Amino acid sequence: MLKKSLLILLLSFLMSAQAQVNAELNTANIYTNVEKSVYQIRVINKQTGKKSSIGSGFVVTKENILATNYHVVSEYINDPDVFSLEFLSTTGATGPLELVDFDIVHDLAVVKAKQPMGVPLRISYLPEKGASLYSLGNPMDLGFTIVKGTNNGILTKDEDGNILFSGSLNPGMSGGPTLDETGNIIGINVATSGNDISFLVPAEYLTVVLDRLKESSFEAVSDRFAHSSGQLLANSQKIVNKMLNNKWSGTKIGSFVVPAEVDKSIRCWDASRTPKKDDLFRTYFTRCSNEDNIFISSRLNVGSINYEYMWLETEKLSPTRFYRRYEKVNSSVIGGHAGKRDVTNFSCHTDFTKIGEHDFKTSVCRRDYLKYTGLSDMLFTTAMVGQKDKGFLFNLDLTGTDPKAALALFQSMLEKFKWQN
Amino acid sequence: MAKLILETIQRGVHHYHKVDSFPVTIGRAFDNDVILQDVTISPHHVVIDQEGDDLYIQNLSTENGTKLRKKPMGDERVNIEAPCSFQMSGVKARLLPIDMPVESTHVKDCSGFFCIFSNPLWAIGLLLATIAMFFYERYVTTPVPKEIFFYLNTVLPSIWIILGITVVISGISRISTHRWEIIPAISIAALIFLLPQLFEYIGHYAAYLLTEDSVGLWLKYAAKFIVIPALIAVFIVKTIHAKWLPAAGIAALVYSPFLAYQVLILVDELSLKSGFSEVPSYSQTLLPSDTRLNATISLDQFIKEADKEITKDVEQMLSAAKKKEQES
Repeated sequence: MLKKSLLILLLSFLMSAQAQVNAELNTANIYTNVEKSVYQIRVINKQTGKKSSIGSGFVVTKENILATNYHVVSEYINDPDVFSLEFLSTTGATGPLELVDFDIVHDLAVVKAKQPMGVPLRISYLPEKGASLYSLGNPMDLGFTIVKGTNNGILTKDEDGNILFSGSLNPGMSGGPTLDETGNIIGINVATSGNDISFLVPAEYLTVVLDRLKESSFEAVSDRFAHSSGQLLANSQKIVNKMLNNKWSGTKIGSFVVPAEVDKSIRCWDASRTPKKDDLFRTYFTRCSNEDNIFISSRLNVGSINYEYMWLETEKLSPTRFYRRYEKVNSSVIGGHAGKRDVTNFSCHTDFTKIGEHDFKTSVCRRDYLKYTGLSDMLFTTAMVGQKDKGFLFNLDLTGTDPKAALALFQSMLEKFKWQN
Repeated sequence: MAKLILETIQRGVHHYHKVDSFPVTIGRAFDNDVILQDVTISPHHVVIDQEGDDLYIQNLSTENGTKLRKKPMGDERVNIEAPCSFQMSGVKARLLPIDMPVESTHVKDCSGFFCIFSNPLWAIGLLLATIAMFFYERYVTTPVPKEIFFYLNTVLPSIWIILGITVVISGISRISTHRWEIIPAISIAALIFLLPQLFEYIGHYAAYLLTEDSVGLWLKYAAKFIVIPALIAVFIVKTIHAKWLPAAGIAALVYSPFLAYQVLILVDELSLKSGFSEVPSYSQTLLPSDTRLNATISLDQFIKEADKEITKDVEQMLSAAKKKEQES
């Protein structure tokens, strides 16, 4: 019996050691197989000839076509007169690249080289959760590396539906391929939160771009800003329409029942002030956000949807004192770093409206993007009036959105307000 | 020969000497007819004499000399006629006929209860009202329970500033009119704080009434640029009994350092308004009384009106930006 047990133990040890050797061989094989199809993508300042930003890319669909992230080549896309694109191979060879197409929403870009760049990698479906994945790239400009990690599936709360990759991606690996155990692409490296929490763009979005390119015989996009605007506008309309079609659950804030999370991409947090014993007024504050941004350039992000509810009430403050406090918090601003080169000034309209059987002072503000035609930042704010000891504020802002869709969302949300004592 | 008056002006102070007999000697020495205690005056500086109907002036000073009609005099006698101005070193002088008419009396045109610059009750009332305003402002903007010492602590510096301004205004009155004028000084010091705050209250109320916050802003500017200088001018007219035009000039001069500072702020604010701003500008005022001219409209109507107005506005801004880009 003892002999038999020892034999089983020895066999299992040998099998485990063999499996480890196989895994190491797999990782090494995968790297060897695809190494010649993976490149560093560099954005070069034409004036200085030095690289301004770096990322990774890989050959896909055709020998001279490479895929990478939009954010890797965004400087070049937004300012082609100042910057140029270049590749660096694992052997140290360099050469120019041209932009062909991009998907700004899913952070993808397709570039073209003048010569064949290697064997195109094949796109495949995402394997089951827990499967091993291999991510390639050139982190921190230190040299080409391969990182092993685990597939943790599509993020359902993320509007982009990115893949959660439990592996260590680092700056410079953006745009590199992530492969399954057979060496097929399942995603494109895009972001990391550190501690082995990384994100990949599902390869199916790249397929959409490549299919579109095949139809146009890989003709490069002519008007990059119009191309971006169209994609951002369509995405904004899709998201807002999805929100409008959702069945919203209600949440009670003070005496109002209001829409809570209008979509699964929205997360709400309580941000109320902790009550104190001698407080003269009470505040209930809920803040909701899609916690998402679409990268346009290093100082421009769009696609955020934020809204907040604030209820204030008092039994001890006089109306004048209470309203001083209420007025002080009646201020709303929009996030982001859009400057005068990006957007117009805000135009606002204010009036008194009937919402949930009560009077509200409501304002709508809009500013448009100068280069991205049709795209606006919208800010909505409404404050209950006519109640001497109660106040209710609702602020909603959307960046880089279709103004009509945003207005429809605002109206729909307000129409759901119900007064409930 | 009619009698003459010798007017000397030393450091802004006027002295008048009756000239009954000739010759008249002027200087720092005690044996002169007119003694001037000024270090720039010689012991025997000038002599004025009369021969028949003719008047003569002679410079005796070899140190700092005398100027007649802005020209330095030698040691010769010069024939003059009253009125006549001359300058003995740092002391100005005029020889005036005794029957020369003087300026008409400035009549004090305000007396009684409604004269805020002369009635002590007003001064005390305005001071108390200002202190009460400070307390009220601090109280309404503090929505948490606080002890009376908290309010005292924050209000006392403002009270010291009022008293400081009172002392400065009184000091200026003392120098210019030889009167302290404490009561008017208290009134104006209190009003300098009270009136802008009053304008702010009116502006706030008007902003909500009209659903237009810029009304409040313009009233704030009006208080800073018109009301305070006007107040100073009224103070000068009523207290020092000056005429309106010089009073307005003095008020502008006195207020000019503050005015320059306020202009700087205004220019900053206007350039921010005319330039790019990341912050949306919309009517944020809220009033517990809910007094307003705009009636409540339906949400649907509001959305339609807002969409129409802001779309037009933004399109104008976009086309202006495009035009600017083409020009550059």
